Amino acid sequence: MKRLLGTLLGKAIFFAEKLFHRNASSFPGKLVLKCFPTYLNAVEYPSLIVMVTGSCGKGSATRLIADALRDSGRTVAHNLEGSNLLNGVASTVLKHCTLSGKMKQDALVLEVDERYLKLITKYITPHYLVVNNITRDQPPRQGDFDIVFGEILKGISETVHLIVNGDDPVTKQFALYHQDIAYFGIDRFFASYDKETDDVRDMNYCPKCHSRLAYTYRHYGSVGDFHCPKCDFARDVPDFRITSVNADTGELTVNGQQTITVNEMILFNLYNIIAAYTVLHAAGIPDESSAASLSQAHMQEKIYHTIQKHDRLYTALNCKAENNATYNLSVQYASLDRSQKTIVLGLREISRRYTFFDLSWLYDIHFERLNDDTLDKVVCAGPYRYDFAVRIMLAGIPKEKIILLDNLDHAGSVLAEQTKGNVYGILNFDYIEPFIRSVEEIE
Amino acid sequence: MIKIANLYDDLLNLYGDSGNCKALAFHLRETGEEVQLDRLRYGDKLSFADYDICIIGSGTEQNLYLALHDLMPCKEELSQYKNNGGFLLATGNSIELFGRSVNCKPALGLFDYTATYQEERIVRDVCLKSSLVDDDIIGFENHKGTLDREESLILEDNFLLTYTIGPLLVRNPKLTDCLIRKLLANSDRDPSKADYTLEQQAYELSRSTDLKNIRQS
Repeated sequence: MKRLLGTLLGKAIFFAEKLFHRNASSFPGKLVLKCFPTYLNAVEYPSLIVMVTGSCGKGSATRLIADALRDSGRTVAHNLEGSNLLNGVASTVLKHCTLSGKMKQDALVLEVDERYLKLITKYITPHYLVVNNITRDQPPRQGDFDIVFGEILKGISETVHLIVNGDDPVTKQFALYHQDIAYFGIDRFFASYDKETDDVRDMNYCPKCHSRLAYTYRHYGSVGDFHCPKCDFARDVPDFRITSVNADTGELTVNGQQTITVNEMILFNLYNIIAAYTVLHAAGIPDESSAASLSQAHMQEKIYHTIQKHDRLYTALNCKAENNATYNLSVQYASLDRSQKTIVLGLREISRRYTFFDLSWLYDIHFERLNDDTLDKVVCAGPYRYDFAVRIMLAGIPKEKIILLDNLDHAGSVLAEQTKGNVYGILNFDYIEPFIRSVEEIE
Repeated sequence: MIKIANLYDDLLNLYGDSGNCKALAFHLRETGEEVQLDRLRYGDKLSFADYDICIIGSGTEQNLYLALHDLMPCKEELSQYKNNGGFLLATGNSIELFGRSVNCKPALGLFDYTATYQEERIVRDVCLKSSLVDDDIIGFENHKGTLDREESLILEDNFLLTYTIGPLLVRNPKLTDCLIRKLLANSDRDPSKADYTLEQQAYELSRSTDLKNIRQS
């Protein structure tokens, strides 16, 4: 009865929203859960449920998994970006179930907020749970990565098959608490480095014996081939790993066998691809079919976008404010271009959730890496332009290379007239569109 | 030469705390002063007397306890360093190390306060007064503990301790200037050669109504 009434109510709201051209993605779920708090217990779910959680990139990983399952001929229900809290998940379920409260799709693939996982798994038990990374993210809301790890742990039931990044000592810690885990990773490739740099790393000491972790190579931060010199805490060889990367052709090899051709050679994209491959394998999708699907995948334009104008390449890299990992990988991506370059930095709002003034995370971004002869200018734009400029100055980049702009409204002409080389917009999501618009306006 | 000890940079680095070392070293060098920045880590031998200033920052609860464990045998030496006029800047929850106890665990006992952990984290913008500078000191707090004393900024001898996180010196150029003047008191370097224009612009803009409107829109 609860199932029927709840579903009817939810469907009615969807219908009303459509009628009035409103689109509040989590509202139907919110209302139904208010009237029937345990509604999600009553739904009949598909035989395959995958959840993806972590600090960043979970939306992209979820999309890769859902698309590859569709390519394999399965029908898939999957939540849209941003509907990853309990109400959003309930809305996704309501939208895709029949009036009798049955989901007829073959699979349900959900992106889940890391703090809400424990609330969602109270009602929906996933068969596979992917944790793609845990890093510093939204400190005013999350506190720190240890707290996030603990929150995710609370949402993991004994029966779930975990799929986690084995290159990251933070996520490798799940091995201390859970049995059924498959690891994914990336072997040494062209962006890996041997020497410890002075960038900020989340985890430097063994969680078991507190010895300092040793590395044969690193990919970024504390992610790489680590091992504890005193005990058995180590990366080991992940179950599924990218064994070779060809920067020119975009070809990746998985476990020395399958080849996937990637369209965007960004480290986060590589991790999302190998995470998706691992979960697809576990779900019984033939590896050849997964490899073919993942080769078709493109990162969303709002995350990665390039424009060619008068022999200059403009690249927009969407970063998440309050999350140094997304910035660090964008900085790494730009610094791997050894030709002359210009960097554009900026954001309009630090957070959509709160109005705190906390830019401390700028000091977790290794802008020092950009400080060489190939760097022509750094454009710092927006209300926090001086804070960015100070950070750039303290990275040792000469002040003469800094251009300050109130906003990106006329950035196109400034870039065209005052800067040289390829342009990398390392920007918060709220500055991606203004950046693209201003570049497109260049005569 | 000014020697800076960055204590536990790989444990206590949670909220942009490296910014303090960067700002201090950068502006000291602008005055022509030579700077040596050493990173002292868990298990390293700590000789405080070798340094002009020690800088320590925020960490996860676990990492804070690790640092405390490592520091405990040095509490006499640290106390001597303080009495001899050594400088120390502690930001974020590292302030808790220097009181009598952290969440019931014995701490260094250099200051007469105890830190108690709360259910809800304390997360807020702050604006503080200090005898060191005329300008308000601005910053951000994000911590679990509270102290059984009122001040948000503790100043004793040349030790400055505050729950304000991370880039305190970056955000408060007058404070950096004040610190550099004290550090260079016995040298012939001219502290006014340090240029804080960009930091001052950031400071002023962050205090203006313009930015407040943007943040609340």
